[in-house]
Amino acid sequence: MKGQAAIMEKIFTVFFMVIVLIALIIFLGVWNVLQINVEGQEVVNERAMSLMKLISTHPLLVKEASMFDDSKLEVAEGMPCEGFEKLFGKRWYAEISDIDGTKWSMCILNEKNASYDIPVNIYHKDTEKVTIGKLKVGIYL
Amino acid sequence: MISILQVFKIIFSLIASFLILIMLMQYLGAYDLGQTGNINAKIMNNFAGTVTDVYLTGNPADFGEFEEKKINYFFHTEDETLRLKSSASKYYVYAPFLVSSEEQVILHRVDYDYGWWKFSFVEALPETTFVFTLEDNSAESRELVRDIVNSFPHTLYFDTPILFGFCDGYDLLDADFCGGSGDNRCHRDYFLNNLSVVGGVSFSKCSAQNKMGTRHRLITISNNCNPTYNTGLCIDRLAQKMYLAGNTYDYYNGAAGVSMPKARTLDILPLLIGWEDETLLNENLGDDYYKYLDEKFVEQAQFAAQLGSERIDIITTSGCNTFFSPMEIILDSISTASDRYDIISYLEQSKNQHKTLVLNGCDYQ
Repeated sequence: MKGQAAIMEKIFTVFFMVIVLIALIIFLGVWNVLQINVEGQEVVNERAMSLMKLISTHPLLVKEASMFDDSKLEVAEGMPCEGFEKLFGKRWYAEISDIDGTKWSMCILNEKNASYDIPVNIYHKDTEKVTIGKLKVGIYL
Repeated sequence: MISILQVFKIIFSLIASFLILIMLMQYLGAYDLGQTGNINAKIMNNFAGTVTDVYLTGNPADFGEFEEKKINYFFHTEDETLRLKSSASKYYVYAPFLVSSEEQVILHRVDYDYGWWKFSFVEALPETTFVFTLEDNSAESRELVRDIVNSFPHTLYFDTPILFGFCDGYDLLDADFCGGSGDNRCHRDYFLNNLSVVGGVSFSKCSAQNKMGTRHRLITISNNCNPTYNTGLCIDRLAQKMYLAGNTYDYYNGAAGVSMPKARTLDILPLLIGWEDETLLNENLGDDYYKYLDEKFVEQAQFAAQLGSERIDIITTSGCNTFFSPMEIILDSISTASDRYDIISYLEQSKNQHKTLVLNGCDYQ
């Protein structure tokens, strides 16, 4: 009886040690997955921010940094997305809206996305006036 | 006397300990690999971020994280995008960029500004000394040297020096050629200040290769390049050809009698940065970069010209029509041209025409 109890004690000790180890492994695994998700989100954020900077300074769209030219936007809106994908990569969109509600958009798709807005200026070529507007840049997830 | 129970205990403990140890080691091995991958991915992400920052701001920047953590990364053009790739992760960098080395590098933006459109790309180089041999030492050749040198940053206050010098026969003038300047080395601006010194000097073929290290890159400007035996890069300005690592490349110096286009360095820089290095696919990196930059420049120029031409239809007014019409013709020619050199010529014309538009108040700079 004493011998059997000692064997059981040993088996239980090992069993609990294995349980603790497995729990530790699961914890580290979940932690890693969470970290990867957080970093994935960071990558999306960073890409959106970089894209925002690229778009708001690109000479094909702006008169000067953060001041879009409405004549350039009008042309850009009518162009196929492929041309812009060569400049800014794939799976993104941009929407520039004027304070009076006029909107110009590029590469819009009806898909889930993460987007950011910043205030910008819009230069009107015909009147040579500058109004305020908003740039929205999104990344399709 | 050891009892059977004690023998069982010992054997059981040994087996259990061994199995747990194996399990732990396997897990820790995989965990360590994962963590290393994470760190590498972080560094790659930082690098991609620095490339974008330099592309956006135009300010040069040092990047030394590759030196601290040796990463076997490489660049590969795929889906028309240059990828920064390691065993653990891959990143797309949307700004056009060319990189040499796997260590500490300096990043710098190169611009080709046409007024109505600008093409920029980022170059990244480790510590390098470019050595020129002017076998063809004409004013045009020195002007070409000036254009090439101006495509690199002035690195006096940076950790990664890009230096310049000359090789004349057995003489290598790279260390003290710009004596008395800054840290006494030939950084960009000091070299350019001293460039006129070699005017009228007759250069002999460079034979000082034994004095050069792996950081030196020899550029010969000659009317007599030997495609088989030349060392480094040889540029034949009159024949409009370049030779590197046994390959021959076209080089556009502009039509006769027309001012030399700045975009001529667009042919040279990819070879200077990629040099004779090999990609993981055993292809020549300089060759890869030459094709990549050529493709990027042409596709962006044609897309910009298409946009510019359509914009003219919207903004043209009766007073400016005289100036916009020739501009539209030039832009249409750019967007339909199939030859890159035609595109570069049209771009030069567009730059002048855009200046006319600005001078007459029809468009802005």
